Amino acid sequence: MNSINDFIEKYHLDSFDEVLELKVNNKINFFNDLNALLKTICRIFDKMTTIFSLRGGQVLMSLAKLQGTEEVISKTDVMNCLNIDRREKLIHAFDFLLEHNYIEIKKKTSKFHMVKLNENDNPDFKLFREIVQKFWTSPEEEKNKTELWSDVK
Amino acid sequence: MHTELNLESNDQDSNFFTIIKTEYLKNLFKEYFLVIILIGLYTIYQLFMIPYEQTIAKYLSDQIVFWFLILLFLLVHFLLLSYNRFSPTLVRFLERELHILGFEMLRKYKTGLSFFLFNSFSIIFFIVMNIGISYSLDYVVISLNIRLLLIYIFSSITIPILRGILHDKFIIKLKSPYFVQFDLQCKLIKRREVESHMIRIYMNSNKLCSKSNESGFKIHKEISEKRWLPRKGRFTFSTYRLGLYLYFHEYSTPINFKEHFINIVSAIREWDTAIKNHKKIM
Repeated sequence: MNSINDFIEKYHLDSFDEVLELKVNNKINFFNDLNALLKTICRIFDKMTTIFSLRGGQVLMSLAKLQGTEEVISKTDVMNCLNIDRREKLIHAFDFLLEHNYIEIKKKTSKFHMVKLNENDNPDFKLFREIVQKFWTSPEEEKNKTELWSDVK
Repeated sequence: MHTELNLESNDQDSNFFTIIKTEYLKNLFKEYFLVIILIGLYTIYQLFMIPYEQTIAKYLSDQIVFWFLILLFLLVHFLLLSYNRFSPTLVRFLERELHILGFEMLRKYKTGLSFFLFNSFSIIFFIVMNIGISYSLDYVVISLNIRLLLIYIFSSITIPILRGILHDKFIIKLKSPYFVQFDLQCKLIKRREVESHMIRIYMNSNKLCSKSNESGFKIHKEISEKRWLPRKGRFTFSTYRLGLYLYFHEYSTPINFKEHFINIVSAIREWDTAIKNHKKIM
């Protein structure tokens, strides 16, 4: 399932004459189809953010992912999550996102900056975060999986 | 002192692309110079080979054959060399990026299947030609045979030397038998593209399976679609593969290299797991 139109058509969601009844198997199919759609949307996020040279999109993805497991997220956590070797490589991305109110940064010390998604000003980020946390495999996780696979003899 | 690529700094972007372009050009001129020397030697040799007593018809036919073949030789070599480009700075940049991901880039001199096929066919061809020529009295046929033989010898010497010395192949070994091979390309003429897109890194997996393998084809299609992998690699790589086998291809610029490299490696990992699971079920 990779089309919203097909999804609506399959379950007659746009037909108000019929009642939507989901029983056992139908409910499982409905849930699987919805999951497949969200997974595809997540993949589109992932690919779109790697097409552009500025890493702003990738930073948003990693923040959304890390917010599911970490209470406090630093710029280094984001850097590690994206497999990036130097913080300077994210300077422009952080500056851009902060300037456009997409993220919030609290400077605890000169080197320790807490970062998080600005969901108050961007309500769409709630759904974005939920999709990313559920479906996205971060570059760090991909790297770990590959290392594990390479070591298996 | 080595120059380090820093693609994240706006001030240095143009500088680094200029360095890479200069290196490509330097390498290209070095290759052209070597080919020109070889052509010069070949031409001098030809001049001394002209017999003193011959008719105008023989002389003209000899010259036509000679210049036709020498131009063909030049064209093939110049096209080949112009297409393969190399920059030590870019290679160092890739080595460093791969090191961060825990991979090692290996340089491997590979003559490749095309070279062996070329040599085998040409040897057979010349044996047959020489058998036939011993019964022929036609001057043009004899002349053509000698020229072809000389060009073959020159090509046999130049192609492996130039490819071996100047065009290392880069391979990243994964879990046996998998690997990723790189092909680097730099566009020297800027059109409408931004500079970072003028440097292109083409990545290809090793041979995965035959296209006629239905389950392999299905798994390959699923993984390629899921990971947005291009269906076709750079065309030079598929010339001698004849489209009979399945490979994963990926393409990146230096800026998004790591993400795309991890993408093709993850695709290979998924392929390995899927194929093993499929074999277990069978």
